[in-house]
Amino acid sequence: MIMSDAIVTKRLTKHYGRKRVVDSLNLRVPRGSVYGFLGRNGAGKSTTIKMLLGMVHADYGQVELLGEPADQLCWETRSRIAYLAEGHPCYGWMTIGEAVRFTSSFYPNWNSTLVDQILDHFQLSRRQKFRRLSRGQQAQVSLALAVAPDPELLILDDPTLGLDTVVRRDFLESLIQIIQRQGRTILFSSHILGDVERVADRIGILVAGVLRVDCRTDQFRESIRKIVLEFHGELPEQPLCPGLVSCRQVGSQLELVTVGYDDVQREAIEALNPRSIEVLDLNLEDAFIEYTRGPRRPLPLFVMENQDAQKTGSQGAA
Amino acid sequence: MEFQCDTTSRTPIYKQLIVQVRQGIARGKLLPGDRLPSVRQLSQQLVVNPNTVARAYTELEREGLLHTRQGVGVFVAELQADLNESVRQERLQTALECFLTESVHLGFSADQVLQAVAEQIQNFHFVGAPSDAN
Amino acid sequence: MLKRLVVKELRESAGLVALAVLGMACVLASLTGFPILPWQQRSEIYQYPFVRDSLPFYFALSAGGLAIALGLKQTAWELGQGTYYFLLHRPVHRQRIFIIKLAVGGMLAMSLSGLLILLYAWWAMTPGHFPAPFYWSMTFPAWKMWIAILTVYLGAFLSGIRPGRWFGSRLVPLAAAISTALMISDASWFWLAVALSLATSLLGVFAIFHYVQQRDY
Repeated sequence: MIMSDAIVTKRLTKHYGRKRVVDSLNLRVPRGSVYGFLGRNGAGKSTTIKMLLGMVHADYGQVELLGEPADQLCWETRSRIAYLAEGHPCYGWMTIGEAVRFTSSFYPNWNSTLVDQILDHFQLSRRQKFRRLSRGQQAQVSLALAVAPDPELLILDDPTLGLDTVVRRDFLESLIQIIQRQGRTILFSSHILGDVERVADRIGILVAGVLRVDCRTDQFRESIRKIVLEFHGELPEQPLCPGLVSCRQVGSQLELVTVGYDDVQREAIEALNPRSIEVLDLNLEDAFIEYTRGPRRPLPLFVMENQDAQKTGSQGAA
Repeated sequence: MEFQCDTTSRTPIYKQLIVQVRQGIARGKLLPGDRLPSVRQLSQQLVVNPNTVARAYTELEREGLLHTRQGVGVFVAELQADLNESVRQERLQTALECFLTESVHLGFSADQVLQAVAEQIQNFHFVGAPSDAN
Repeated sequence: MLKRLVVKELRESAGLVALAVLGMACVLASLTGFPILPWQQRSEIYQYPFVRDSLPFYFALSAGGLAIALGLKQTAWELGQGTYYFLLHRPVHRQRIFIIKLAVGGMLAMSLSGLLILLYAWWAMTPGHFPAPFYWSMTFPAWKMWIAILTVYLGAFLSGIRPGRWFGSRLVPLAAAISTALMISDASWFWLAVALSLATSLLGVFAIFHYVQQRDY
């Protein structure tokens, strides 16, 4: 049986007034992967996720979840998809027990042992009202409720927003346990790049509604290089360097960030005659910042699984 | 042996794990035949994606440092000197060049360097045959 | 699952219902001259039940208020709380969720307001309470108002579900519903009132389900 991708969008577009919030998005989340959906605030991540779930109507384009068109999802497929919205919404007046009973009534497959385990682990009494719980506890309960039906596809919209460091770690641990079960697909958006690096196989970066990056996490990291050039006298103008993302003057140094670092880039840089050249790797957070901050338009970097053989350098030079 | 991972580091997580395993073996904290945590256990412990751990283990296996016994676990392999003598010497010389250049730039005397080496050598687990005085 | 949805809607309406019951008790007390506050005494009634009394005013206030509050709470409150993101992606038809909302809300609004009229009528027809004859036909104007409550409830519901950036434009359906309710209450014939109410309610329900499917949450 050919397994289709868990999530596929085709030219998904959404306008709010005149502003194009999501622009012709072609997203592809393979089954079994953990996909980190990144982007600055206002880039369109939340809107995209809401369109996936049918909370917001797209102006143009199609969405497919687990192989079925999202607007015609049959009941059975819907019960295999879980969604945790931003802020972990739930009915504040419900007690945890009531919330469990309410949610479980929708799903034929409900793993009540799992819910019990999570609640006991975090020492949560079923009699407590949801609104009386701390944010972290609410997040854990919401995650438990989302995961209990044993979903194949889990979509999380900024699940660690507003959680303190310890609770975030707890949350990630729960997530790792879910990941370890084969075949589960997770799409989550986050601002905590450290967490994304730990957990995501693939990342996608949305910049002003456009998907500019869609590749494996390590591929993205390895492509972005920071080059620090020292000069004797005056700093030259921005070099003509393919794959250049940003160029900054810092004292007597010129800091360049490029997508890919190959002979082409090396030649362009050596042509500037710097006193010294230092090529640095960046961690995911710095790479993301450099990529999304620069005043120049970021260059796209698309690598699909079956194109792994291609050098990323040639991608950047394109 | 304790594993750690640092997401702020410039090194990808799987490379950090590889480095830690190699160092562990070099220092004798991991001896041939020792069992490493399973992919599942380590990913839970470090809170990282199991694929990352799997990738590190796969690379280490390819380098010949680990071997997997199906259904049993991942074990440290017997140290094999499968590179020929000249390559080994060459690599050793390169490592020495690097180390000694750095020491000179740091302003140490030759005696201080020898002393530091003598002290650290205790912490490492050398498996080669004791060299004959030549 | 549908049972749970019904229970949820009931639980969420409980506060408003309690307030309404309290309010209606006060209304009944004042209409029947029953003293509620400690310093009042059993007063003489200068009103003729159902013929010339303050029922229309108090009814509009209490039953109308309940209908509006329920309609808005079931829609706009959930929107404000963000709980639609907890509810609407579940494996259940969106229409069913809203059918249950409408059924519970409508039933609560109509039954409580109907109860108010029935209790008042019972009081009026019990001999010894009021020195004047009582005929059921006297209650017809009250029942016209009762039918109009459905329109008001649906108008509030529609106002809550209809998207709109300006607060004023969002309340248009409610304003329209209230004016229609006044027309229904004033209709010359009882059956005209019924027809008008049914027609506007049907319109309201269609509009509601249109927005339920079409809107962004």
